[in-house]
Amino acid sequence: MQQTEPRSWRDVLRKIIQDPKERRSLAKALDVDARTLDRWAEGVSNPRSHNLLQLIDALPSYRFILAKLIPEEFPDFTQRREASEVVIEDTIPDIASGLYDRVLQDRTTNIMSPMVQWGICTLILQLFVSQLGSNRSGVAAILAQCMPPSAGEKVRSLREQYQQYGLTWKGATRGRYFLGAESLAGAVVSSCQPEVYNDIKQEHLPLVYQLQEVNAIAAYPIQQAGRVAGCVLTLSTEQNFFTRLRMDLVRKYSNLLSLAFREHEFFPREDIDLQVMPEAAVQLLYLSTFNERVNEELNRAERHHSEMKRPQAEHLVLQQFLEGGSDDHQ
Amino acid sequence: MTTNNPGPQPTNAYVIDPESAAEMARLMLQDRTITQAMSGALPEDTDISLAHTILDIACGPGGWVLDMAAQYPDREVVGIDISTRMIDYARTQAETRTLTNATFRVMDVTQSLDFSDATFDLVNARFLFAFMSPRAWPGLLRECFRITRPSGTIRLTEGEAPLATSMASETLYGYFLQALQREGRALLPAGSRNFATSVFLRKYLHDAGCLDIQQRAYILDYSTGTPAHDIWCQNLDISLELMAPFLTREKVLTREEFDQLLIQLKKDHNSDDFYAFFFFLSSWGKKPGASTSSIRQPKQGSRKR
Repeated sequence: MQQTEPRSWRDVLRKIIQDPKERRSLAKALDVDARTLDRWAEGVSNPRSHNLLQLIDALPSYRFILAKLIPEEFPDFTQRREASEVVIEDTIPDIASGLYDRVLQDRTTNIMSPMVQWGICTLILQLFVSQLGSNRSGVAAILAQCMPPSAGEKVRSLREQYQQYGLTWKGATRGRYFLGAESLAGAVVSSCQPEVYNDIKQEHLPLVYQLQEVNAIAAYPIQQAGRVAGCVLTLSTEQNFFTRLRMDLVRKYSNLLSLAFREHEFFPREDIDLQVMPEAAVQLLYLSTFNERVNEELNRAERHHSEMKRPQAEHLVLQQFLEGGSDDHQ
Repeated sequence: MTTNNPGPQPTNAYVIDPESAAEMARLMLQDRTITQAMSGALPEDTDISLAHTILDIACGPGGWVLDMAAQYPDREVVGIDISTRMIDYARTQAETRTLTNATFRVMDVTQSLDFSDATFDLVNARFLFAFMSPRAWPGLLRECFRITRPSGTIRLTEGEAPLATSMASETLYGYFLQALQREGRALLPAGSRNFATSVFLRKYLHDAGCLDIQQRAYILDYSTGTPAHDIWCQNLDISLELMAPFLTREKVLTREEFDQLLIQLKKDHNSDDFYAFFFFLSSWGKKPGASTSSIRQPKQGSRKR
């Protein structure tokens, strides 16, 4: 099918607002009536210069074409943008108070069991990706948690325990990998300092994420009183996604997630000594047989008439893997 | 149809604590998985053009309502549920996603619905079997019929117990059905091994006065290696664990017996040769239009208004 090159920025706008959902969303982002967008598209009225800047920022997928076409009608516009050096950010609402209420309700009325923790973490991450992904960018969140060490040992690895993918995420989903000293999550947990990369393809990060669609990533530690339980990785398909306001939101959600963890799941920095984890391909191979190995451990315990719950068996199998107790690392 | 009716029949009693965050999170994941399995919030051949106001009954944390509101921003979508906490959370989600066309209200769906006649173009209800007793269905359908506009649609979706290569699964869902039977909430008599709710949907719609009733069956394959395996097994594991108080309260098994079965079920779920289907059915019918010459009168009942 032959695509016609838009002749003006108004053509671009007209095409976008043919979709009622896009029209409504764009009007809200620019804080104008939707009919104003119609008038701009039809050439009945002109936007102000700050509206044009907002339009470009609200439509990241059309950024380049708009930046090229707008000055063709408004030559002064280019000069103003070069002179201002002010980046106009969409305002981002704060976390809804209902989520704080929900989390605190569970925290104060229930013993923090694995089930309660799962519920709180899942709800927080669901809302997190919903809110961050509301501008149509693909967003995903991964919560990597410190793996409990054996008695007297230090924390050697993290594991991706929770994942949430936004409705607009078009990329693949991933398994629950182990992350260590080689990873961004590992660096953030070790330092207890957040990090953000808005163009990861330029950064040559030694990541294990195996997700080609990711262009920007932010990592924020989950902390409490100077101790760390893990970190939240936020992935975006959009370059330069993590603006100041969005990072502020990442911080708030990460802090909220800290309420879902029990005291013994936080570790002081001096007890964090991450190993380098096996490559993703090796992990994938091992993880594909993980459940069967856990079942074997449970069956072995049963044969010996000793009680073992599934989480205990999982921990045992994981320790065998991480300590090189199998030949899968080769 | 005969039903086993040995004792008190509560008309509304959810088998899981609806206030828990785990149940809310589970329902959100379940909603999304089911919607994906159905290829969307509505069947592909549903004519949505005439549906401007839409109601979801027993909406829980609002997953279906929010998906519809996001997909159709120029429609008004309403969700109702008996749980204040579920409704509060649904509103939180709508606020977070800035879905101003989604609204939620606390309402007991086993009583008269607080809406005027002919309010909605589409009335939707998914998986009500977890709290609906057999005697409550006809009354609910009469109310749905009343609040649906002429030529509007009522759509019901219900599922059956999983069909799985796991004796632990068969046993646990057998106990669940037994517990429902003890409370007089099962559609079939003691000894039967199916929920059978889906079988009755056509009858409920017909008795309420609906015409042009259609049905569509869905199968969610959650065998090992399938896309739905991890998330659906997680859904079932969590729902069963949350259901444990209900099962032990009905004395169909002890807590120790339940724990052992759940351990075995999780082993089976994580086995390489685990095969399982979840079957569910959508039935929908139309309320006769104002110009329809042969409008069949719905069956009358003694429901309070």
